[in-house]
Amino acid sequence: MKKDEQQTSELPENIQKYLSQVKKYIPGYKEIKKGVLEQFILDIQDAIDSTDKEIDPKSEFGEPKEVAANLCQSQNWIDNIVSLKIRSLTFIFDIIIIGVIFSGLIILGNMLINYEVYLKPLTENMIVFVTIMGYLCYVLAPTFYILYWFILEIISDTSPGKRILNLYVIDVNGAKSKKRQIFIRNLTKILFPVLIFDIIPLILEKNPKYLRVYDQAAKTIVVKIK
Amino acid sequence: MDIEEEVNRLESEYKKGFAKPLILMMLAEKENYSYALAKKIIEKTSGKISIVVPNIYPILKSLKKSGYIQEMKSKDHSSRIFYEVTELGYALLDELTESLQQFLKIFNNLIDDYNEIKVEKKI
Repeated sequence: MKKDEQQTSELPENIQKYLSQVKKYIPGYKEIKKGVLEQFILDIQDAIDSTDKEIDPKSEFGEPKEVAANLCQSQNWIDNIVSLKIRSLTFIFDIIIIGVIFSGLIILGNMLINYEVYLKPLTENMIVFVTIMGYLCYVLAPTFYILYWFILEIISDTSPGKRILNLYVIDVNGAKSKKRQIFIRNLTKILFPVLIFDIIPLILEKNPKYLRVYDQAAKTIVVKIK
Repeated sequence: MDIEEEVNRLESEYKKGFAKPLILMMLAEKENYSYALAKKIIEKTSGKISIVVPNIYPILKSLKKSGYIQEMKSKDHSSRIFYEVTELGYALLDELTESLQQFLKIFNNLIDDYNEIKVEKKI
């Protein structure tokens, strides 16, 4: 097996642990992280081969967070900032997904609350249960709408709509964005009037790399990662 | 603040500014890759300057983006990425080394002046 083909699993345990910590701070899915880490793993392998002693990765290469930031900066992601028009397209994809699930929950809630129309006669206990579930669907629908943006972007740095076009939300410096940044940039989904500040530049768009108002506040960018 | 700490901080600040020319000079000598570059810098500067490997990646990217270096295939056909200096890179190095020499000359003069003042003032 070639040296560069050596699998991460063959590296010492402390190095594997270190690499998994580094991975946490790299945005994107498994294949992206693998590509970002490729040269770094070869360098680690060289460092291991150059000494008989066990290497301490933190003292040799630095803190995982800083290493990930440097690795991300060395990618071309920052050069691939996506235009507002493309992002609006992915927003429509997301809205369709949200719309289907949101309406589904509302319809289900409506069916459960008006159980006498749709369901056979129920026992007293079942009536209480079905009614609570019905109202719960009403609560879940808007909760889902809000969590859709926040949770998905925090977990995977993208939303299903963005994922179709390989778009990811990252820090302006190229590193993985923090939870606080995701929270700030998605506030616009709740505070609709602010969207006007994004719609005007979208119509006038002279600068294709214009950042949304809330992206500017959160210091995030949306990039295409291949 | 402790004087030694302050010196270390100032040293690390100005060393950062020398990182790009340093890497370019190392690559001018021989095409190389990230880890070998880090080792070579330590060796060539007798350990006075060291750049941890992950800090080299963004510098290489920046030099490549500006056209001063280019990627080349590894001779052993591994996926290791090697870098070599381009014509533009050599042109930059020519200008840069001249500028650095002038800069060092000025600083050497300033240091000499300071040493003379120290003797005069018996500091």
